[in-house]
Amino acid sequence: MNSKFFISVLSVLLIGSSYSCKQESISVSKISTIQKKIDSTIVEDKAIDSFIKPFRTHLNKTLDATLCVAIADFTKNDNPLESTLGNLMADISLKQTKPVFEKKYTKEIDFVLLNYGGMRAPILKGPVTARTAYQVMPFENELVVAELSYEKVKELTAYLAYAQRAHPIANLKLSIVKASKEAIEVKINDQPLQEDKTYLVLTTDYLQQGGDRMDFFKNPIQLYKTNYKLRNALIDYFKSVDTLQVELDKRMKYAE
Amino acid sequence: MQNRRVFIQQIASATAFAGLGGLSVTSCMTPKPKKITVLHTNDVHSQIDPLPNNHYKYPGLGGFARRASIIEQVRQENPNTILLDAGDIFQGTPYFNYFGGEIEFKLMSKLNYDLATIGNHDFDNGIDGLLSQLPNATFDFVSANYDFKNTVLEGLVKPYKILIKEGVKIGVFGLGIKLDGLVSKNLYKETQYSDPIEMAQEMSKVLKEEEQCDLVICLSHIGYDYKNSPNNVSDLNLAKSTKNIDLIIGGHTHTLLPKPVIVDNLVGEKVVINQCGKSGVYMGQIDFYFDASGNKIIEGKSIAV
Repeated sequence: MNSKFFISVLSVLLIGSSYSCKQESISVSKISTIQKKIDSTIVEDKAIDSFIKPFRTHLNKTLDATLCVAIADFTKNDNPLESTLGNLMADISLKQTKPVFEKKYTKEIDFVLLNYGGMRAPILKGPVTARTAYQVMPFENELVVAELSYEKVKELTAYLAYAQRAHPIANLKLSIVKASKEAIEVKINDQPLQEDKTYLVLTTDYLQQGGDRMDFFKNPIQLYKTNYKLRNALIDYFKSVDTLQVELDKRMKYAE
Repeated sequence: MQNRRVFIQQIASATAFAGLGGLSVTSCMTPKPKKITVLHTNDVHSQIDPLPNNHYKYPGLGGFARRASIIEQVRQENPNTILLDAGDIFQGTPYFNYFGGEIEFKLMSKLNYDLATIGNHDFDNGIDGLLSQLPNATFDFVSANYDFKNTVLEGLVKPYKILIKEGVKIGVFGLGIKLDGLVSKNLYKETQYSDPIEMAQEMSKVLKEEEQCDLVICLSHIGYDYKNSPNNVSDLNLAKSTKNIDLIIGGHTHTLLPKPVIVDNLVGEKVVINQCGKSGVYMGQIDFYFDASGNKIIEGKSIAV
């Protein structure tokens, strides 16, 4: 088509249309809404599903590859104040963080405190996989080291004595008087608490920021980030051993 | 600006006539009633497959392949459909940990999303992690209150974008939540946050008055409502303290509204707010019917949860 001709036809049309429809502005006359539930009655789009499939297959293979073997069931419900799963998680956190932290800051981590509620699934006897780590620790929490004063560590032990829950700990031992909810015989690294010392406590960013009302972690003397997720610590540890084993060692117990 | 809109509409009709080879102008006498469909998701959190059947809250719901079918069905019913996401696309399943957001963006592109805004979790692999996935997204990101100057995203995220469907001008702007205290600074880096309500006032003015949009949509990741701190910036407060916004699509608080909420704005006009839980368990659909009558009727219906 001759372009000049086309332009002139177009302009005739434009003039024509602007003349014939004196522009009336459009506006919303009605709104209707619906919340669509995405459930199993909806047929999957085959093309989309086949796009996802290779990723899913690869992911499942990676997640389900055996990294090590658990010699028993590890749960969080063994004892009122201590659990196999809790001891394992606290010990792994310390073991995996320690070398890098000490090299970077030339300081030693004194002890570990995680939370009971943060253990979201047991580790069952048999093959342990990355999926296990995702089930135990579905959150993205990172390990952090908070430097606490003597007073704050006293608050921390008072919190544990009051809660009387199997919050995971490592390198910390305490006896709790059940009735009075007091902590006695507190030992860190097998040493009694020292008033003139500050303590480096390994925990998660979630708890450090006040999660589970662990307010003693707020405003620490110094906060060291590790950029290391608790879940990744678990996965790295699972890869580094053949078997998972752990003992209940009365690190937190009732006073006799 | 008014003229430009008229011009675009006329170009559209003129082209249609040229294509048909006819010169009939009778159909142009009164504006044709039009319907714009807005589909939206929020906080999908890398939920590529449906949630497991033992999920505590939404057993077996969600999944991209199912959502794709529904979207296709809606588009066949009404080609004038736009598809939006209100942020927190990333984080929540191992798909994100292992593939870094690649699948999320590729799937959203395949589903032909038009626009998304940025949620706090979209910074979880750092602002560099977000940048590295952008080539996988055929849709754009809008955010009016994050200033990315001095970051790697500078120039890549616009405050708003205008979509045109059958001559209807739809202005969509984005809002994000305060990052300080929520996201590590080393992830969001030099991203500057400013007050969402002030920005919304400015954006709605630009879109309604300068750009002459027929429909103004706020794509928000600031949260629906904070019961314990009712004065916090939220979609409810945003709706009440602004004007010229027709629809607020929310996210962040994972709120599953049984049906969209309708609120009076600063000048007593109706604003629709909607949010659809999380993980893609629901998808919102809002149909706007346009005609020359000027009457606005809002009717809500929903499927019981």
